[in-house]
Formats: sequence, structure tokens, C-alpha cells
Amino acid sequence: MNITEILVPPQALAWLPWAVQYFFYIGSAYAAAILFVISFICRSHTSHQWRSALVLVMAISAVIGPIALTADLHQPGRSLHFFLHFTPWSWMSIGSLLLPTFSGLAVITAWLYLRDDIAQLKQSSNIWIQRLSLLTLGQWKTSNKLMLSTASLTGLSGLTIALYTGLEIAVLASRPLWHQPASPLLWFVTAFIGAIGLSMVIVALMKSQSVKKHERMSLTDRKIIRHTLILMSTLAMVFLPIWASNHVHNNLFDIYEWQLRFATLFIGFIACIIVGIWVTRSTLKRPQLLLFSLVTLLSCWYLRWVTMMEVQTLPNYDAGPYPYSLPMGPNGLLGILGMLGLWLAIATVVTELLNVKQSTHTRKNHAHSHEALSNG
Amino acid sequence: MDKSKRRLIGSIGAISAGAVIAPISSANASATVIIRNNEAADRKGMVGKRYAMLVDLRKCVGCQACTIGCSIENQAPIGQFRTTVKQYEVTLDNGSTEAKNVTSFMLPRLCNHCENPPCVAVCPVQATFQREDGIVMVDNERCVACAYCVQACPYDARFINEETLTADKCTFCAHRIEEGLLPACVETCVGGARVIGDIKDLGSEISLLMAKHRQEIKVLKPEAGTQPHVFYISLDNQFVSNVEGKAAIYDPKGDRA
Ligand code: SF4
Ligand code: SF4
Repeated sequence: MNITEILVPPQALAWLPWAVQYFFYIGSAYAAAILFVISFICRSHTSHQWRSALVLVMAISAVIGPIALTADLHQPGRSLHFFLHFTPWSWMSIGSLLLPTFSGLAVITAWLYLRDDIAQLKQSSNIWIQRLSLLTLGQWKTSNKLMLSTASLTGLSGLTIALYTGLEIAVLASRPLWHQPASPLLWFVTAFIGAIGLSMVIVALMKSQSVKKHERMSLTDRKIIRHTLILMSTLAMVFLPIWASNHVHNNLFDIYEWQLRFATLFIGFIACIIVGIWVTRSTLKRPQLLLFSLVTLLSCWYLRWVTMMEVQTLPNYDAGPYPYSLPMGPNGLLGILGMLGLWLAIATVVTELLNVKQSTHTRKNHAHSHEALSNG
Repeated sequence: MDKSKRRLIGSIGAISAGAVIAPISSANASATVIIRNNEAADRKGMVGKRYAMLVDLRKCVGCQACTIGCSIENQAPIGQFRTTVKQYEVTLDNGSTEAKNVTSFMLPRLCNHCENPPCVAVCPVQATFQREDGIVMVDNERCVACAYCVQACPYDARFINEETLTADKCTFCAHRIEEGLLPACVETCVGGARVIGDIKDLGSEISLLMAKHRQEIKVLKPEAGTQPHVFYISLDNQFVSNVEGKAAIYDPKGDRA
């Protein structure tokens, strides 16, 4: 029997690019939270610059992510309904409690870690910047114990985000590509690639001349980047074919568009591994940092695009695929650029402030200077 | 969790004629809890009944009168449908003399008002619910339009209404049934292909027809374990789970993305 579809209305994609953005930013946030715990534990070997970059990625993305998520609701004004009608058997509802907890903890952790830096804004000649130093909320010293326990709590909270975001989609039996352990695992491992990409953007934004030599990216920082990129990209390349082979109706590997998508993803992950190998050998000036972040961010982003948006073009019943092209407006390109712009704007303002303090004050008690590499 | 929100599938299966007829995957026969979100008094519907629809595909001529009837009755935005009739061109290649014959196959589609509806279970604010009479509804004043239910439905029966910006789907025209009327699609069907009724009433037209055609009745995607309550007579096996064939050509202008 040969079947040709004559009249089959296409199903519109119900989850918009906002969903990809949410997964991108919140994934980067939880991965940065976990990397920060590791970097803080190894604080005698990691640099202040790297740890600051991680806390900033964590806090900024944990704030931006929920904005993108709210925009994916077609009724953002009704967000309150999540709390009025809590539904413990729905992962999305559970997420409505886990997410604000994580975002709150992420901001608190970043604030605790950067309190010393905020205090130094007092040295600024600008009265308004001076006043920002009051944000330390007192003169007390942040103890290592407090820092470590808060950071660990945030890391654990980050893991709950990884769990809920993964399961929220993996429970959908309607789509075999989502309904498998490989999909949450893919999102989890690639989240670290995104976190590293965004951290390198922050490092690039910090003026190298205003970062004290002993605070610059250390060899251990670079080794963390290297190991993370190599491990997570390799895992992604292992999980991806497993993920793709679970489509029951069509063999995705037989479809030209999907072959291209998989090839692009593999090239991306191999490029991430090359970045990982390169990062311990290269000087980390702005052009290198921006190139490295571009490669890692695009790989992380495109994996999410393929596994979330392109999957929705595969019909549940008909032959398909359904048509989709990225709209230019708020629900498409404009929304993506807008959120990225917002992220960069916040990151620029915060790193500018940190640059201010670093150019006006010499820090004491640096235990981690011996491993600092030349930052060019 | 409040137990009264959930019912054991076992007790339902025993009284639902459809569940006996429909090929249900055995995995589903265990004591899985089914979430219906229908605890509130105004979510009960017509207690004691179980509505279902039987579509006799031999009688469908593909005129789309039901599609139009529904659009007029329920005012779905242009280009979005609660029900529609999919059309396929079928040629046989089995070497028979009919080999060169071209046949059309029509498949009316709507929400299946599943006995085990995955769309209801995922809703984070319990906006979507299933009444005691089996009809699956959306409270569109509570719906946050997260589209989680749209993704959970294996039948693409739901959509986000572009005008109300909330989840939308077939309601079996519950507002008409409650007044003793037939759903708009059943009322307008020129071939009399669609029959709706209470399958718990063994004397109803649908129950009699289902008993008569017991052997030929099929549902879409029985393997999904959703226990659909839209039954089809004369549904070819090639169309039960998914269509393998040449895809429709979509007019780019039809893409409302
Ligand atoms: S057909 Fe889809 S929308 Fe209708 S009850 Fe079943 S799962 Fe829910
Ligand atoms: S779109 Fe509305 S009805 Fe559907 S899951 Fe979300 S809140 Fe519930």
C-alpha cells in the first residue's frame, strides 16, 4: 500500500524558542554552580578571576533563565497560578518551587563570594559607585565555612534543576525521542559546555590590565576547563547516537536534514575538545577567549535547538516533517538576541564594577598567586 | 496526595464497554493510578455516563462538513481545528488487478477523550481535567498556556488557541450534550459516519453498534496505553499507529509560526 498525504494540517510547534533559551541559561547556571563548588574547594590552586566568572555566570543565568521560561507561557500574567494550584504529580509544578529556590541561592552565593570586591567599591572616586559598596550589608567577613556550605547548597539545588528540567520532558511518552534517559543526560552534560562558554565571555569582559597578576586564570582553572570540555563533549558524542536511534517510526539517520544536524553537532563537540586541549597551551587574550566561547556556546545551543525544536517538527502520527522556520519577531530571533543582549548587558555592568575596584585597590592575603599564568 | 482525585484503572476498566473492546496494552491493566483532576463539584459532568464516539469510516466522504460545523460552533481561530478530516491517497501495490486504482482514505480526527489521558496528568495547575462522564476539558481561566498538555497528547489533538492564548481542544460539545443536543460535527455529518453516546447505557445506539461491530473496531495508537474513546470501524492497520508514506506538501503561507 502506498500512502500519500493529501490534506493533513500541520501541528504548530507548541514550545517556542523561549524553551531552548530557558534550558540554555538555566543549564549554564547549574553547571556553573557545580563548577564553582569544585573550584572553591580547590581554591588554593584556582584563581579569583575564574571563580568570579563562575559565580557571575551562575547568578546572571539563574535570573535570565526564568525570564525566558515565563515568556514561553502564552499567559505569563498567570504565573501565580503555579503557586495557587500546586500540583505535586506534575514535574513542571515541582519546578515552580525548585526554580526560585535555585535562583535565590545562586544570587546569594554570588553575593557572598563577591562581598570583598563589592566592599572595595568604596575606593571609587564616583559617589554613586561608592554607595554600591553598602551592598555588602555590613563589615563582617565571609568565612570559608559559610561560603562552602552556601555554595554546596546551591550546587545541590542546581542538581534538582537538572533533574526536574530533564524529567519534565523525559516523562512525555508521546515523543520517543524525549522519553528516554539519553535526553536528560544529553542536556546535563552539555550544560557544562555552555557554562564554560559563558564564563570565558566574563573573563574576556574583565580588563586584563585591571586584574592583578596573581588573580588571573591559573593553570588549575585551565585544567578544569580542559577536563570538563573533553569529558562532557565525549559523553555528548556517546549519548547523541543512542538518543537519535530511539525514534521508532523513521530512522533519523536516513533523513538528509537530520544527517546534517548530527554532523554539525559532532563537528561542534570535536571543536569543543580541541578548545579543551588548546586552552592549557594558548595565552588567554580576548580573541582566543571569544573564539573559545563562540565554539562552546554554539555547540551547547545547537544541541538544545535540535533536541527541542527540531524534534517538535516530527509528527506523532503523520509522515511529516511539519514546517518550521525561525520567526524574526519576539517569539524568534528578536527574543533570542534580546535575551542574549540582556545577559551581556548585566555581565558588562557587573564586570565593569569589578574592574573599577581592581584598578583602585591592591588586595592582600592572596594564597593562590603562585600558579598564576601570564594573561598576556 | 488526595486519593479521591484518582481512581484505580481496574474499577473503570470493568464498567467501560469501550475498554473491553479496545485493544489495550497489557502493561496498562495493572493498578496504575490515573489522574483526572476532577475533585471539584463543578468538574463532575454527567455522573454515571461515559461518552464515546464511534466513527464508521466507510460512511465518511471527506466533505469536511464536520470541520466547518465545529469551527462555526466553537469559533476556533482560522487555521486551527478541534476536529478535522485528514485525507490520504492510497494505491495498492499487491499485484492485484486493483493495483493501479487510486483510492482516497479519510480519517476524521478529534480528541479521543482517553480513559488514561496523559494530557491531564502533566498539567502543572490542574487546569485540564476529565469529568466522570469521560469528557476531557480545559478550564481556560486557570490555564497558564505552558503547552505541556499539547506535548503530552500522542494524537496532536490539542493546540494553543491563538486568540484566547490558552490550551484548546474538542470537548465533545459538552455544552450541547448537556442540553440534549448532538455535537456540531455529529449533527452536520452528511454520511452519518459519527455516532456519539453513553457506552455505559447498553441500549444506546453507540453501544448496540459497538456490540455489532465488536471484531472490526479499532482505536488509534492502542500501544500508547491511553485507551482512546473514539472508536473506528474499517480502520486499516496501516493507519493505526502512524502513517508511513509521502508527506503532505505544506504551503509556506500556511505556516503560522
Ligand atoms: S486525545 Fe490527546 S488531548 Fe484528548 S484525551 Fe487523549 S491525550 Fe488528551
Ligand atoms: S497549557 Fe493549560 S491546560 Fe495545558 S498543561 Fe499548560 S496549564 Fe494545563
